[in-house]
Amino acid sequence: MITLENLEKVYQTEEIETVALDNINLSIDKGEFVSVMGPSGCGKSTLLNMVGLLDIPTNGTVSIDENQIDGWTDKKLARFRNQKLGFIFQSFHLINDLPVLDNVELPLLYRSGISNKLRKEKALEALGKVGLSTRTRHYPGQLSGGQKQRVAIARAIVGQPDIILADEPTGNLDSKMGAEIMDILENLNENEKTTIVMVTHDERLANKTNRIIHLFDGMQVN
Amino acid sequence: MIAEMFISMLLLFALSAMTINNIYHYNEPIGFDYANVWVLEMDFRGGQKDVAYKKQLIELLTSNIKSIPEVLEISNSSSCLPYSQGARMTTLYYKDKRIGNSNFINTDFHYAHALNLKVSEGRWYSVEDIGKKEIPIVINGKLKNVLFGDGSAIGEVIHSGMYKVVGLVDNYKIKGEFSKKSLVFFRMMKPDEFQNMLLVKTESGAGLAFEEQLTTVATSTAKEWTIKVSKLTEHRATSFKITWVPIIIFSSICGFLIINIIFGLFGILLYNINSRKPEIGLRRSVGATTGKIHQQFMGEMLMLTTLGIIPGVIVAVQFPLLKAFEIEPEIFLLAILGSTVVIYLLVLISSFIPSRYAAKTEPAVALHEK
Repeated sequence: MITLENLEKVYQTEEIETVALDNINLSIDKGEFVSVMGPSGCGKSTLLNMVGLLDIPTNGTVSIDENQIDGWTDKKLARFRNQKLGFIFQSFHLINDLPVLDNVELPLLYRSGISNKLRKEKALEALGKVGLSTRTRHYPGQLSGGQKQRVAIARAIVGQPDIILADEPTGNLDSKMGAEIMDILENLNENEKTTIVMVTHDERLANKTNRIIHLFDGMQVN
Repeated sequence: MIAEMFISMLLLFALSAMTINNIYHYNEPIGFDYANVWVLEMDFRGGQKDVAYKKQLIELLTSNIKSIPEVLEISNSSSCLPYSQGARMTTLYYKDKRIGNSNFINTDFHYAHALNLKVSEGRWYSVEDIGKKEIPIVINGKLKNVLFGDGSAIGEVIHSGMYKVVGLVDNYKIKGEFSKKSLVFFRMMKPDEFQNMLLVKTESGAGLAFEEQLTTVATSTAKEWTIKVSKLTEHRATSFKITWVPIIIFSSICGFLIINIIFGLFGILLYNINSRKPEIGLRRSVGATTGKIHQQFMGEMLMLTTLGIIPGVIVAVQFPLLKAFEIEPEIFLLAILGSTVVIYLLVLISSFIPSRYAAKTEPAVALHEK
């Protein structure tokens, strides 16, 4: 379902050339829960950005669902991200000026043909799945770290994407909250058959996934 | 920012109203010719006090000036010349009407010819009116409308039998192009009466040599008076300055404020964008195109602008409703529309580049900004 071929990402400045990803060849099946591990700066987040179509590879190709993402317009990329991908970030990235419900609705705002009512219904449904139905009118500043991450998960799943990309989703949480988040992700993978790619430093969480991909200095080492 | 928009709106509204008002009135006919007209302003204070002597001297002066070949006409009138800022006003009575602020100008028989006034109905007063019971007057179109509406004015006696309307000039804007139409009537001077102004109409092309000759004739004829010679075009130029200098000064102040506002908006939005980079990254990741990000920041600025403009419009609308400064309501409405459009344009211009910068921000980079 997700195929990376000879993927290379080089960041170039006037003085220095940094190889963030070097010849990555990877295939992730539909419904698989994969974790990406490695030391800081090894290219985990860069890899996730490539899969999430947020960055363009220097060389190589990214294919998702047999679509080779190459030369796509900004509009096509945006539509694909909106419909196929869901993102979860370590620092939650919630908009503090918006209540929880509006934060969760956000991906649907960029999807055409969805009424305001349906948008609210879907957001409430997503919040129900993460156990936050009673916090819809709260603002992110009024929530705990674990609750914020659950809101972020609700936002990631509201559009029913096939793939969830989670960049250290438990990185800012204590172990108990981290475990709760991991449970939600496992449920999503098992029940909804959502493909999940999770970057993590936590070996215990990684061991719960189907497969661990190790990166070191931008290279795949396993 | 909302307060800035509110103040800008009111300042631009005031400036637009003044400018549109002037342009609006400029397009109305003034009703007289200012070209090739010279003005002799006489100060009688230095000479003999005897009225008959003064009258005799003015007649001599008129005769001597008329003998200059370029001179086509000469007229004696009171000091309320075209473009003069001063005015002589009176209140007129007609039946149950009381018409205040009516400008009146005392003139001789030649005034209409000297200024090429177009008498559309009736006639200008002449020798045949001397000795009549009522003083003949010629009124302008605005005064006619106020006094008689659609009815005929010619032959009507007003002001308790004092004046008789003998003629009508459709237009006569005493203060020139940029003034609004005012109520004016011309009153015939009595045979023994005289005024301190002489208007000299010449052939076109009379220049510096003529002015020298005119001055020489005037000062040599009436040695004991101080006589100031000028061209009506100079009075016109002065009137233009009086009209436009305050507007230019006000425009400069407004321009300075607007430049400050543009840079201020630019800075505020750029700061806002920089502090919201993670949000930009997030929106891109959930499906926003670069165009949507651009629209969002432009839209936010327009929304804030609207919040500032609404109270501004509410204040501005009071002016036409209250018919303030006797300015036509449509001028105020145009000014409201104009100032609103200008503010929106300025906001669009000042927010375009920062919004574009926001849209071009790489989502992968933006998501990792603190």
